[in-house]
Parts: sequence; C-alpha cells; structure tokens
Amino acid sequence: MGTRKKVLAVLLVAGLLAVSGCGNNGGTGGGGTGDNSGTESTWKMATSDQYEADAEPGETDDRAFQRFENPVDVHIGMAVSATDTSLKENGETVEDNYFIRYLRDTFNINVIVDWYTADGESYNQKVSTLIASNSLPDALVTSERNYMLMAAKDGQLADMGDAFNKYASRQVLDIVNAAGDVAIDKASWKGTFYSLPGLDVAASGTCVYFIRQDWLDELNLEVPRTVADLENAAKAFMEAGKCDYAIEGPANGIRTYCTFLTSSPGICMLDAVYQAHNAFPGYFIKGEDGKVYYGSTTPEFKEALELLHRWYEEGILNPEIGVQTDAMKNINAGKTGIYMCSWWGLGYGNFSAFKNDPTANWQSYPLYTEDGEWNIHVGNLGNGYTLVNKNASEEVKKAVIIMNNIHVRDEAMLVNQTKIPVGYFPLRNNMAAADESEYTHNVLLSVARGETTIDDYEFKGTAYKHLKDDINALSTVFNNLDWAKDDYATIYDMNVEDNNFARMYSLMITDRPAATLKPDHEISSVSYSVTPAAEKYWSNLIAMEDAFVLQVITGKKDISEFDQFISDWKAQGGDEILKDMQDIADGKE
Amino acid sequence: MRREKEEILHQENGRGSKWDRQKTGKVSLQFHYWLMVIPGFVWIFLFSVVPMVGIIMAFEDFSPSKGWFGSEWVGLENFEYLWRLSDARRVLKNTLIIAGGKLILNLVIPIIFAILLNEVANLRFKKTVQTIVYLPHFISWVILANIMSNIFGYQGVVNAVLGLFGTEPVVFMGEPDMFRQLLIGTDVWKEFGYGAVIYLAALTSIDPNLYEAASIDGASRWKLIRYITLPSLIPTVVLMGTLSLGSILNGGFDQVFNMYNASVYSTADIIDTWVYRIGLVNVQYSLASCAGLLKSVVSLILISISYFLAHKFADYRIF
Amino acid sequence: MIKNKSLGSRIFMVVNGIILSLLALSCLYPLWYTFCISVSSKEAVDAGQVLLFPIGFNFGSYKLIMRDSAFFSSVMVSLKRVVLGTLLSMTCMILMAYPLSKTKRHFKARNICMWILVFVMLFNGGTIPWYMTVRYYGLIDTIWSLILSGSLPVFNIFLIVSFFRQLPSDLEEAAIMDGAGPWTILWRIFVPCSIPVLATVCLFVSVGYWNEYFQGLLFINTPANYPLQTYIKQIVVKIAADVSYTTEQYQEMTQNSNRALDAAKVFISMIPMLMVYPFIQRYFVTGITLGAVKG
Repeated sequence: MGTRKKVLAVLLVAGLLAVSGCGNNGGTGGGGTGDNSGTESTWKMATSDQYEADAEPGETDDRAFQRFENPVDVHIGMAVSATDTSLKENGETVEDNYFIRYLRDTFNINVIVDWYTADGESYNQKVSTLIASNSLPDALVTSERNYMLMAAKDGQLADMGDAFNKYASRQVLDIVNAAGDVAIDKASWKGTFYSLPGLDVAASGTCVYFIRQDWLDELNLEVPRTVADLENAAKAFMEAGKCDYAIEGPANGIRTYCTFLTSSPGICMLDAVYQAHNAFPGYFIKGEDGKVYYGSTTPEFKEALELLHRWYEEGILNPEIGVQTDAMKNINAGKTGIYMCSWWGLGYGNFSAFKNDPTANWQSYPLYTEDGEWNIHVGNLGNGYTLVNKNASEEVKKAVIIMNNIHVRDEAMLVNQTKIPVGYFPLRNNMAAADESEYTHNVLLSVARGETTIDDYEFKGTAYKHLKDDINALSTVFNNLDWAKDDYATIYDMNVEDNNFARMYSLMITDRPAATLKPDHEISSVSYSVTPAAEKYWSNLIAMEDAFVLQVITGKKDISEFDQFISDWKAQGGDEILKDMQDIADGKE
Repeated sequence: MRREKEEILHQENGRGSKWDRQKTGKVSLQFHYWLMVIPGFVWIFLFSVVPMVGIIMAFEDFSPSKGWFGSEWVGLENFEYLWRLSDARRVLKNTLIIAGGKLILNLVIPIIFAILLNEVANLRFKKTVQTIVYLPHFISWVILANIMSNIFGYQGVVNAVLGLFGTEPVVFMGEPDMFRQLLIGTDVWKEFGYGAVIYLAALTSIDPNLYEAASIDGASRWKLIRYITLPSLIPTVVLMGTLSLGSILNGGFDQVFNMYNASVYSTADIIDTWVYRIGLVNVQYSLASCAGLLKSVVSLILISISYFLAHKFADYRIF
Repeated sequence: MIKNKSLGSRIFMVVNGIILSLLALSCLYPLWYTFCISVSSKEAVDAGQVLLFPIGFNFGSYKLIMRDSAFFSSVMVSLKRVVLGTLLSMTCMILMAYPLSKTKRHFKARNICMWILVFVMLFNGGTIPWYMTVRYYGLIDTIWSLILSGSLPVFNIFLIVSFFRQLPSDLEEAAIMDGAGPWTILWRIFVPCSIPVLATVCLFVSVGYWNEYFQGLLFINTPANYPLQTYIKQIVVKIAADVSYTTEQYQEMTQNSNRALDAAKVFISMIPMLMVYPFIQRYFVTGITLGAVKG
C-alpha cells in the first residue's frame, strides 16, 4: 500500500508540474484582478442632451455611428436557435450573413463568430465554462446575471462606463436613462458599469389572460372579469366538449410566476391568477407598515395556490402542468381555450394556433380581483448583459457600443431587408423604451382610425425605433377592417402570411389591455437586483420554492405544509435577503 | 485460485525462471512490456491525470483569473459548507436510493430472465429473444429519454393502457413519488438483457446430465431450477454483487440529466446532476469540485472493499 | 432439454414463451414507436394519436432530412470519430492488456499499473479543468477533442486483460520455444485467439463514441463540427429549468417543434448500431464472461 501511495503522489506532482504552464496560460491577462472592491466608482451616465442628434441610417460621420478607419475585429460567441431553418433557406451562415456584412461594409466592424451554440442550456454551459477558464471572447451577450457577476468579480470584464458615455447614441442614452437607476444598477457591480443592460418593454411584465372569444360567443358567455368568472367559463368550455381541460399551464422548467429577477412571464405562466388574489409571489414588497415581506409567504399566495390545486383536481388546469415539454402543443391543437402570458403571448408567442385553425379567435383581457381591481406587478426590466472582455482594446469596446447603437436604430429597417431573423444580429441585446408597446398601440390605433397620419410623427432619433415600420405594416397586415366601428381587431381581419403579422397581432390584439386600461395598483419589488444575501442563497431558495409550489398545485404536497415552507424559506437564507431588502427600502426613504 | 496454483506450478517446474531468461534480442522483456503500456498511459496521463490538478479547486475559493495556483486557499471550508447544505444530504439520499435500487434489480432481474430463457427448448426463439433484448443497451440516454417522455407522457402508451383498466392518467415524469421508480425501472429495462449475458454463460456450463438424472428421478421443473440451476449460479451472483458495490454512488448522470425536470428535483437529483448544476449553472465551481472529489473518494474506498471481498469470498481477483 | 411433457410443464412453456416474447417486444417497441412517429403526419403526432401504428403515413420527414446538410455533416463527424477513435483506442488497449495480463513476477509494474487504472477510472478533475486541459493542447473545435478527450475506457482494458489471462499458457510457451518475442506473441497468438473479447470491446468502444454527446457540447465551437448525438441533443427542444429566456427565444422554441422530424433523425441515428450489433452479439457470452466466471 505504501508504494502505491507514493506512486500516486508522484503522478499527481508530475501532473501539477505539467499543468502549471497550462494554468498560467489560462490566466493570461488576469494579472490585474477585479480588486476594485471598496472604492465606489463615481461614474455617472451621460444624458442625451450632451450630444447632437443621432445620425440617420447611411450617415457614418457621427460620434455614435462612425465608420472605423481601419477594420476592427470583434470576436464574439453567440446563441442561435437550434431549430431555425431560415439561414440555410436563404443561403446565409451564422458567421457571414446580412447583418455581419452590413456591419463590415458600412462601419468597418469585422465581426468574427468564434463559436456558437443552441440557445438555452448549451449556451449557458459554454459561457460558464469560458468564465471558469478565464477565456471569454471579446464580447458576448448572456441572459444570466450570475455570469455577469462572476466574471465582474473575477476581474474578467472591461469597465464600459467611459466608452458608453462617449459613444452611446442619444437614442440608447434616452432609453437607458428613462429606465433609471435600476437599469444601471443591474448592469453594474460595485458601482462599475460592467455590461450593457438589455431592456424590455414594461408591458412584458404585465400578465393578462387569453381566451377563445369564438367559444365564448358560441356559448353566449360574458367575457370573464374575475377568477370566479374565469372558472365558470372554463367549466362551460369543458361541459360543451370544447376541450379536455380549459386552462393551460407552464411547461417543464418554467415556474408559474415570474420573480423580481425575471422580466416577462413565460408562455402559460399563471401570474394573472395570483395577482387577482392580490398575491405577488417572487417579489419583495414594502408593506404599509414599512416592513418588507416576501410575496411568496403571504396568505393571499396560499389562497391562490389552494385555488390552483382545486383547478388541478377538477381537471380545469392541464394535468401535465410543469411536466410537458411544450406548452404550446395543446393550444395549437385547439385542445384548450385559456392561457396566460404578457403582451407578446399571442402572435409572437404563439404563431401556429391560427394556421391550424383559422376560426380560433383569441382575445386578451385583464383578470380582476373580487373587488373589481386590476392589480399587476411591475416587471423586471429584462435579462440581457453584453459582456466585454477586460483585454479587449479601446477600439473593440467602442465597436461593441456602436454595434448596439446600430442595432437599436436600424433593427426595424434591417428586418425588412432580409429574410433571416434579427436574432442573428451579432451581440443583439434588446433595448426598448419602456412604454414602446403601449405608445405604438395607441399611435397605430389613431392612424388606423384616421385621427392622425404618418406625417404627424417625428421618427428621427426617436426612442420608439419601430414606429415608422409599424405604421407602414398596418395597411399590409390588416385588410378590410373598419377600425372606427369595431371595438377590436380579430384574427379574421388579418393577413396571416404577412411578415409583420406576429408583431401586429401582439401589438394590436394581445397588448390591448395593457395599452388601453390603467391598472388600479402597480406593485413594485423593493429591488430588482440581486442583493449580497440573495447572491448566496437565492438559487437554492427559488429551487425549493419552485418545487414546493408545483407540488402543492399538483397535490403532491398538502397546502397545510405552507407554514413549514415559510419557516424553511426563512431559515435557509430568506431572512437575510429580507434584511438586505429592508435596508434598500429604508435607504430610499 | 487456479491462477495461483499455476503460478506455484510454474515456479516448481522452474519454468518461471526460464521465462525470465528469455530475451528478445538484447533488450529485456520488461522493456518491451513498458513499451506496450506506454502509449495507453500517455493518453491516460494527458487526458485523465492532468485535469486532476483541478481537484485542488475543492480546497480553494477558486477565482478563474488567478488560476489554480493563485486562488485563495481555504482548506476544508468548502467541505464544511457542503456538509451544512440540506441539498447535499438530499442528493446523497437520492443517489443511494436510485443507485441501490438499480444495483439490486440489475442483479435479480437478469438472473430471472436468464433462467426463463434457459428453459426455452426452441433454439431459434431463444437466439432471437436474446439478440433483441441486447438492443436497449446500445441506445444512448439522449435518445431513450426522448422516447421515454413520449411513452410515459400524459398521452403516451402507458397511460393509454392504464386507461383500458379505468385508471386515471398519471403524469409519470412529474411525480416525485414515482420518478425514482421510473428511473430504476427504465434503467433495468435497458440493461437486463445485456446483464443476463454473464448468467447465461454460467448456465450453459452446467452439466446437462445433472438435469437428465434428476428428471428421471421425477423432479419437477421447479425443483430442477431450485436445486440445480440456482445453486450453480450462486458464485456468479455473489461475484457480480460484490463488483457492483463500487457503483453505489453512481446514479447514472446521462439518464437522470436527460430525463428529470424541476418538479422531481426533490427525488431525482443525484450527486452528478447536482454537481453539474451548482458548478456550471450556479457558477459555484469550488463547491462542485468538492462534491465530485468526495464522491470519488468514497467510490475508491468501496471499490477497494469489493476488491478484497471478491478476493476473499469468491476467490476472484478483479484485476 | 427436458423430456418431461406433463401438462404443468406445457403450461409453463407457453407462459414462459409469452413472457419472453413480451419482454422482447418491449425492447423493440421504442424503435418501432420512433419509426411510427417519424412517418406520421405532424397533426397526428402533436395530437398524441400515434401509439402503435403510424397515422397519416408519409415520408415527408425523411425527405426534409435529405436536404438537411447539418444533419449529414454531423453524421460524417460521428463516423469519422468512431472509426479513428476505435482504431486508436483498440490499439492502445490491446498493447496495454498484454503486459498487464502477466503476473507481477513477469511484469514488475503490473499491480501498480492496475491500481493507477482504477484510480483514473474513479477520479476526475471535473468539467472545467478538463476543458482547460483540452484547450491547452489546442484541440478545441477539432475532431481530436472528440476522440482523445474521453481518455481510454479503462473498464474495457480489464475485460481484455482477464480474457488474455484465460488463454492457455502452453500456447505462449510453445511460441517462446520457437523464439518468438512479445510483439509477435501478442499479434500472432493473443489477438487471433481473442476475437470474441476484441469484437465485443470493439463494439462497446465504437458505440461509446457514437453515443457520446457531452464532449461535443463542451469542446466544439462550430455546430458544423458537432457529432450526431450532440446535434440531436440540441434539436430535441428541452426548456431548461434554470435558464431565463428572452421573449424571442420563447417564440422560436414554441414555433418550430416538429416531433416527426426529430423522430426521423433519432431513428436514422440508431441505424448504424442496429446494423452492427446483431453480428457481434454472438461473441458476447464468451467475450465478456470467460474471465469473470471461471475464477
């Protein structure tokens, strides 16, 4: 045994020696580590009035849209859809496509795609591996704040603050500034602006429900307002043999509500039901007494869970909730008549329901509490972080910011020039004005009704970057609809084959409640960022919560264990997060 | 045992020493042997041993930019933290249950199958069945998981069959109470045919005259199995049981990783999937490394135990 | 084998036959089921109607695949990987197994080598160090990362070793008398006498290479270089538990699922294995068990 040990020890030492070169190599450039803790940066974001108006597409002498004198190589990694076939159909590749050529020819930015994977798990695994081995490419976009924090803490990221102030377009500055400190906070670590934040439209956080209006009409039912109404409609659908179960639930891996860290409810999340109970799970909320509490620990939440469990038991809710791999499957097959999501959930979110069944007239409505109030939570701004490697040159940093400017300004234009999805735009990190979808809905409505015309709007440098194209799409997507007479648009009025169909459907039909009705209460989380305690405990806590919620709904755990859940949650780090949140709440006063 | 006896014989006859004198040309035999093992060991060294340097992450607060040798040394702190995590205990429990279940059933089911197959008189039928049941062993879990989720899905064949008996459809993939059984069951299904190979071999080596004699004495089929077939399998069973001891911490990453979902984490999460998630998803590299190391150490101890047990009780040297 | 033809015995035979047939069918069913889905219409598949037979029979999915260059390039990568990898590792394993099948007296380092192999089988540095090592060697995004990074399948070396140990020593001694060296003995005597175990191990190794998907995810940067299983792992859309998706990603994922097409790809990926293993399986019994059973 003695000899054996010795041999192993020798081998290990040999291994250590052999690899010490490798380890060092992996650590090149890591000399200056992220040891900027303690010193809070005094960096402030620039405002748009410091600069001249942005250049129009085609002009390249502007500060924010300049053409580089010498080609700048930007090495990136990117996520692509595993199932998209449009690239191949159009003879393009990920490494060389319309967007990349546009950047190269017009701006002399030479994007080199070092690697790409399918989006989701594979992409995250890749990013995590690269951070762990300190080998990030010049730039990439991640949707996980965890990764941004890890890389920032480890000193792998470039400070983007000064470059951003210098080169961000007015349009971009307007959008980020309008989102306020929250946007900057989430893109920063210890006061240093380490990433460009992705910003979603506010309406994405607002959950509404969608229902088969044609079934309601056929059964002579009123549009449901409250949860009880919805339940009655659901039962009526089932009794009439319209569907096996009436309400669709989220797929495997999707929780039933979005938390303070997620921007938008995913397809079939049930946020609307919780909110109609005045429950705001996943949110840290300041109570009337000034004390911060966690929304998933309230009696209202418990009540909502009990209801969902009853729905599950009675077969109103999909029995495969949380297990099915594809929540859209049964909706598209016409097997269910109600689901929930935010403004993009129809159209963008569900494309083929209409193709399979042209009579499926989906409409979206808010869900009210028993007291007739529409309460919503204010969503997180979005999950997107453009990370730039610490070792990237100033030119590369500049190029990354200019690429972002270009994306924000030209996306709508580019979409109409090529058939490949805009997702292939390198380093695409969506930045939208918070009220873009409501504003656009109302503008489109007034243009459609003839109250205004396209000439009444100023498009140069506006934060509503799609507006012009949206107005133009109005006439190609909708045919023979008398907007003045009808109160709302339906699928019957639309040209489903049009390129802009999905966007128009989402804007004009799904977004109608969020754009035209004012919620009675808008509940915000005390913070939308990860606090130090949350950094430590959140991922374990939310995993426990997810499992508990799903088990209660599907009856594998009894609701009587709710108190146990609360005390577990608190004991396993929840109390410490609450303390952090309380400090934030108190600091704001 | 026989091996050792032979060795003794070798020595007695002096053949061993003759062997030693044998040289190829002028170079010693040892040298040639080394030459033969070296390519393989170089390969193993480069791709298995070298990465093991990373094990030191388990004792560090690993920081990628500082590297393995520059990160802060924290000693056993990661292990202490791991010990305190309720997740870690749950994961250990799941692993033991899942791996234990697979271990036992992968021992028992193939035996039963081998005995049943052995009773078949029609040789062609026997061969066909044998060939077919090997099939699942060769299909990857990436593919099988996809197929399983269809078969055990809400609209899948299993629920359709259960429906015939008036049972309400069950969401198998989402039942924490059933998921472990599902994992064990599908694994046993995948491996039983292949696992039976070894017992079939043992059965073919039984002297047919024994059966002949016993049946002339009027022994029933059950008695033949009970008193001839089973006893002759016992050494093999003991051996296989001991050998599989080392895998008690292997829940089967490929299977679980491709089949599980959040609603069954509570019962399905095993050490390997958990390590994957805390390491690559939650970026707690050191903690992941620490859990992986613990698992390896325990496995090594168990393998050593089974090595000595097999040697002692089955007279068999694993290697 | 047993001449007793009592009624009980006959009933047993029938029941036993039925049980075994059912077991065999259960092993064939997944294959058949995948095939059925791949040739059924998308609507029938989505509606979950396909259980035992194809519905809306058509070869549309296979026609689509014919035009899918990504699928074929991944098949080519996998084939190349299997051939090169199997050749290389079989050579190394056979070479290693021969000295290791000697006793400690004949090859002094034998036991140490064996324990090193056991150690290597159990311990690993984890994903990240593994990735860094392979990157350090400059193998990222090459076929070699898929062939070499998995190291040698140690368990198979043990199989060959125990088979070699069972070969009658007279053979070797006779050769030595004739003046044959260790290399000649290995290639001329051991290898030809060990066809069962070598064929079996060869099958295991090649199936191992064929079925492996994780290395593709980790080491390959361009999906054109993905092996087949990695490609399939990516298309069989699974929404991960801990991933936050953007609005657009949800849209894409939900629009493009085509289970009939996926099933066709899965089915094709199983074909090479189906063609090979029935021919090799007859060696299993002798190949795997000789060493293990007769201690």
